[in-house]
Amino acid sequence: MFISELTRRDMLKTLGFGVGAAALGIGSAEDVARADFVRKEDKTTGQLLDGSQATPCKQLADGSIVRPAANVPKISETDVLVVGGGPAGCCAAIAAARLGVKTTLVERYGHFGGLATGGLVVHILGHWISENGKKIQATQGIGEEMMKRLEGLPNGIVNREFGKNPTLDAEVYKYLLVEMITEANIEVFLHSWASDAIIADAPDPKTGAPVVRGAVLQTKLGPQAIIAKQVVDTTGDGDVFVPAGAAHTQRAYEIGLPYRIGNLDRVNPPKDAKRPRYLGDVTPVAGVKWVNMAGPSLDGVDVKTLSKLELQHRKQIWKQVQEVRNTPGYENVYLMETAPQIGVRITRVIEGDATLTLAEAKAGKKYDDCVGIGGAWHGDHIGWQIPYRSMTPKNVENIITAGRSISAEPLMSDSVRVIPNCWVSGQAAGVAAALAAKSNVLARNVSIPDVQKALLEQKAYLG
Amino acid sequence: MTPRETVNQGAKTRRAFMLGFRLLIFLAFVGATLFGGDALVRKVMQTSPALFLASILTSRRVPTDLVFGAISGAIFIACAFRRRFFCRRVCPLGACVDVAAYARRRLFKRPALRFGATRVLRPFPILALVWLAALLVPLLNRNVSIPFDLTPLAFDPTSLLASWLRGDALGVSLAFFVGCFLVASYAWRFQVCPCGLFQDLLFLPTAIVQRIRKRLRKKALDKAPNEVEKERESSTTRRNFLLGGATCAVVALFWSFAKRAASNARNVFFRPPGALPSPQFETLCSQCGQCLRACPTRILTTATPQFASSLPLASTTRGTPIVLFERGDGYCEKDCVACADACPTGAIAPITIPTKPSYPIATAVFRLDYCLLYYQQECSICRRECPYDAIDFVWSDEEYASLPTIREEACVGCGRCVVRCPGAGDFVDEEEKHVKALSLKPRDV
Repeated sequence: MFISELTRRDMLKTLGFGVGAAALGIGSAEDVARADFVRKEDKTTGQLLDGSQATPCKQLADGSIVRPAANVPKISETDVLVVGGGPAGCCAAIAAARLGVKTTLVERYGHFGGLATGGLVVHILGHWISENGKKIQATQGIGEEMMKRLEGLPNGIVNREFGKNPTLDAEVYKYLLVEMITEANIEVFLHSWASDAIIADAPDPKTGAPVVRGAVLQTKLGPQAIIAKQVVDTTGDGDVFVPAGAAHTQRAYEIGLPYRIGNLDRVNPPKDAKRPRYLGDVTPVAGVKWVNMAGPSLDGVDVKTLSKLELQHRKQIWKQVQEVRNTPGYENVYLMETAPQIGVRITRVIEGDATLTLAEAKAGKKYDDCVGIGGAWHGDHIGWQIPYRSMTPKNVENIITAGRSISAEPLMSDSVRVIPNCWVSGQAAGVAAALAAKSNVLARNVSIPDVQKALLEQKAYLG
Repeated sequence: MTPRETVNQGAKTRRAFMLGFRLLIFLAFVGATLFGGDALVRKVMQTSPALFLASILTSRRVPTDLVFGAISGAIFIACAFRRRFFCRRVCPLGACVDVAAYARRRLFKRPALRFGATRVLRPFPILALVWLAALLVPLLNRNVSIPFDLTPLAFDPTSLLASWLRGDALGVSLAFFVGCFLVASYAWRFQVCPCGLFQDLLFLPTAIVQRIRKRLRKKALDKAPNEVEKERESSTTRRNFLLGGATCAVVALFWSFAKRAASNARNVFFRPPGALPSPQFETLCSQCGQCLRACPTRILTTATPQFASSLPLASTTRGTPIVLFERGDGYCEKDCVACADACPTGAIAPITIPTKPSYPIATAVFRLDYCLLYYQQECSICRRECPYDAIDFVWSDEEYASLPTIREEACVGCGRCVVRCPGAGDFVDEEEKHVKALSLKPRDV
């Protein structure tokens, strides 16, 4: 089709421009119009729909809006469904798939990595701990494997040294995750927003709690259902556990918008000049830096807030970059990209069977069901144990959460939400979900020694 | 004092026995200071009647240890009825004086120089009166500070000895004093020692009663005065007059130096929690160093130019404890009142752990341009570390950042945020790398 078009164009060319121009004036107008319009004869894949199947929401007489009941098509049935393809979700999916269960990963954007890639939060903050005066890398397992593999890729990671916090490259990490997820044979649904939970018709006979059976995704084709034995909610915002009815708290925390600037290798500041304020941090790419942003503490699930902040932050970023460019010697610096995903730090946190507190973490509290060790931002304090019970909601069965939404008091937010700790809790959630699916028990009742054994086999660090 | 010519064998034995006993006390004191706990040293130091009284008056705390309390009380009472009881029977420095006097007698075959002082206040020890003024005036009036370095309690013999034993200058100081004692054995005891003066004051009623009795007895006997005695008295008076003049000159010199030092002083330094306000603190601090030893995080140091070259010190602060956060990573622990417990004089009030927050050391101040948050970095160390929840992060539209804000009513100036603050690191110039975003300022300024 394309070739024939080209040929036709070439033919016209060979005929000469003059002839074409003459044709415009006197000849066949139809031919000329064909030549001017790109005319790709696309195949029509669907049949004509007359719209009679549509079930839009209705506004009732009293002004309220209701969604009519409708059947939801099922697109997949799986053992472990991981919703949210950020650092925690990817680790969960890979860990589960490696245990030989059918694993499905759902992600709202077109790539994996969540805030670490789309959010441009490229700093690996807090995988070192200090114990008895010795520095130990507390983040092992899949997180460590990722960092190691990033090292093998060009411009993948920088500052990966003993005791230091490395910085990864968002694009390289996006690629690596694709590589790892396809290797693990994980079924993937991208561009799908989890919009609802699916629970079993009857609650669990023993506890009376609802049992999660899957999730509904909002796609361009409307809602679609995935049925699963176990669900891992790593959306960070509780997109599944909230509709499932899990008890949770809502946090307002700093929401920012990181960005990257380029040409930093082409600056020539005069001697003794003051550095511009918004220069940001090193990245694996020479001459490129990423600039973080704290932002005001607001509700990260309210779309009005997020919209307002996007506008405000983009203005601010522009201002900051211009400030850098107006500094003598920094005229060549330019704004490379702003994060496509706004930097929401923490929103909804489950009420788990156990809740992490800062005081207990400081005291080095030990848990029987420890499934991971959280690190220190600057490697300057002891590690803190992550109990499995902090990942299971109190009042809902068969759903495990990981990443920033595990049960923790607000003072622990800064420790829980960072990437290495998301890797650690994600891997633990994936292993637990896989073992629960295999042995056909409720997620809450999975054998902890088995989980710990499997985690150790996956080279995780449990203290 | 009896003339040495008439000392019989029995008295000699008694004196030797007494000397041995006192050496034992001296050694016990040294042992307690070097090897005992801080609580023990505090108790041993309070055998000094001056410190005992200072402690009870200022801290309003009755000694809880019955044995040591009873011993100290008994010594205190004995001083009222026996002239210089503490000097002669207990004082470890007094033992040094007596040993030196004994050595001098044996070496030079002549008695130690004695500047009179056999009778209360007769030789008019000027420095002793200055001591008294230096102690009383600042205690009575908060606006008057001591115009010179030497606060009386710092020269209390037990405090002196304790600070020497603990400090580096033990050998030098002891050698200097023993040398002085060899030359003029009793000058220290009767002309300088503030505790000696204090004992004289304690003994004053008894002395007056004794003098009246003696006069009555003299009247009853012959009225003829002894010519030799008179001669000796006049020479003693002349010597004391000269000594008094010299003392006045020294004090005047001190005064002028101190005034200059005080006018140059920034005086930005911090006292331990519970420290009395200046100048009462300086007056009561015996500079014994017990608080320094007691502090588990080692943030206390003596205010000397050696340790704190950044602190131009008014002379009265020299040798007293200050809190230094710049060294190491120590800060004032929330559940610790070790310095207050160790203070023998009450210069640091006997605060308790529950009342500690009402005795702030300083208050934290925040400097924007040394904070990682100002450079759009992630950091929440200060807020997380603050034991009093005195730091909030407040969003600033102007700076487009959440910045630490200190709630001064909750901040006690423990210094934890200061030592934990990482500073702005690579975002500032090389030489400013270690400048922290948090520092401390005095509360009242």
